[in-house]
Amino acid sequence: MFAQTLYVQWKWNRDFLAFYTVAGFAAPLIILWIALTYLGLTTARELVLVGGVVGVTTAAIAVIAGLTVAWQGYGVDDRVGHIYALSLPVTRTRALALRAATAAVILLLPALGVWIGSMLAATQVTLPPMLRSYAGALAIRALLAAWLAHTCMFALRYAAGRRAKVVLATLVVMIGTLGFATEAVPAAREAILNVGNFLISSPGPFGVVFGRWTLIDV
Amino acid sequence: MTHAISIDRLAYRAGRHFAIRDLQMRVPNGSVYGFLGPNGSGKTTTIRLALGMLPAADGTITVLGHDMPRGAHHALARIGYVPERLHLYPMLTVEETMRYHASFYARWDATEAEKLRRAFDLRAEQRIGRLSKGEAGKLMMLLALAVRPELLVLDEPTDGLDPVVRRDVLAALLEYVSTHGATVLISSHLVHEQERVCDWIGVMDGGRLVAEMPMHAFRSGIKRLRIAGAPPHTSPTPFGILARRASAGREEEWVVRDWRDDMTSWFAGGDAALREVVDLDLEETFVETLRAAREAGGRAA
Repeated sequence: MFAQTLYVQWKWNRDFLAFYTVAGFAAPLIILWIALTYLGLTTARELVLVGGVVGVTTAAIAVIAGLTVAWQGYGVDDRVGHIYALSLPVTRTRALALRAATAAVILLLPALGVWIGSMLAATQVTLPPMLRSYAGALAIRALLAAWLAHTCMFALRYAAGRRAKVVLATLVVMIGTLGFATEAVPAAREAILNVGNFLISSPGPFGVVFGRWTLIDV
Repeated sequence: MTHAISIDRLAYRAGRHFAIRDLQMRVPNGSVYGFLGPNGSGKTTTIRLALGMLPAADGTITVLGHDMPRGAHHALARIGYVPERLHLYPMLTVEETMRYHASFYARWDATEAEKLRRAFDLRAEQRIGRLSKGEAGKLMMLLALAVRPELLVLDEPTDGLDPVVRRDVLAALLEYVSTHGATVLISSHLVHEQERVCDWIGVMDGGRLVAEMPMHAFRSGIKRLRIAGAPPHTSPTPFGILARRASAGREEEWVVRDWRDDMTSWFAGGDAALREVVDLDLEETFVETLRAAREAGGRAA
């Protein structure tokens, strides 16, 4: 059951996965190549900056890959009215767990692309003694971020169904309103910032996505 | 357990205009139960409620001894289901779909599935999204039969299929039923098709089950009488009058239920004269049943 579900998920998502895997692989190579060859960035400070650009790009690829796989997985069922999924003899909990687990497995591919691309990119540059490359850490973080993004989107789409876009828009409006409130209502500023920091700082629930992403650091 | 499907006091509402109210339905074990009704009468909704795909507002549903929807995963493992429209994943091939489907069913019969695939002339490598309507219908029937179900739930399985494919699909169904003695619930508005294969009938209209009985009772119990000199108001009759319509001259047509041949004597003592007793075919019986139910519903309202 797991193997067949994995295969079906792979078949639904293979085009996207191929794109994100290639993107994850190529992004560090291209960014470092441009930085070294065209911009001539070689100092430690400049290399840390370039490592940060690689990190942010990787984060974006990982999050978008996770969101896409979740959106696509739900969309395939939605187009056939969920009839097939609901007619199979498994509990809904088990069916959702199967989907989530198999999606997590296929999201290893973009992370693998990031890992190999980052390792190759790191070999292009001679790092000063105080700097190190973190290809493995970047790939693991990309994997965790992709899983988190997938889980959030997966939960949202299965919980909200066709209202998912409305819920997403509401969330965006809420975040915007809170941002405005931090400026407009000084009394609420600290409380809002504390909640925001809790959510996006490690070990908060979204800590893996936010914070500092980098390939090259001290 | 004498009923494969047992539904009591079922209630469900979809939007403002459609509701199922106080539905009671029994599908006897081993029967081929024809579920008749016009489009939009609630057949598909009732089926989805029975299979645990929709949450009922009220009532109880038992399928193969399992309370639904709580025991849906146990019941569904013993059910072959063909929905009214293609529900399979369009990017998979026929073979991949069979493998995927098989992985969920312990009772999957791979030999039978392959035999049916060849008999239905389905190419293993063909994508679901490119199947014709007939091929899709055959594949869905294949998937339903290859799980060796105790209960087959078929929602308009031959709707839109050409006569050749329809015959193939029904032949495969009848062969399976005769071999395995499975119960079948077959929903359709193709009345003549039901007449050939069903031994029980349920008629749905406007979210209500307006008739449920063995096929022979349904067919033989309703007659059209041609009557001359019928009084405007009749005294109590031993049969039920479903409808009265003016016919040629002073004649009337009565559609009656619970008719027996010895009831002709009821006309002997009165002014009305019975000219003819006409047998109705299933389609006419179905139409008259619906008409009577709607008139009764209108009067009640």
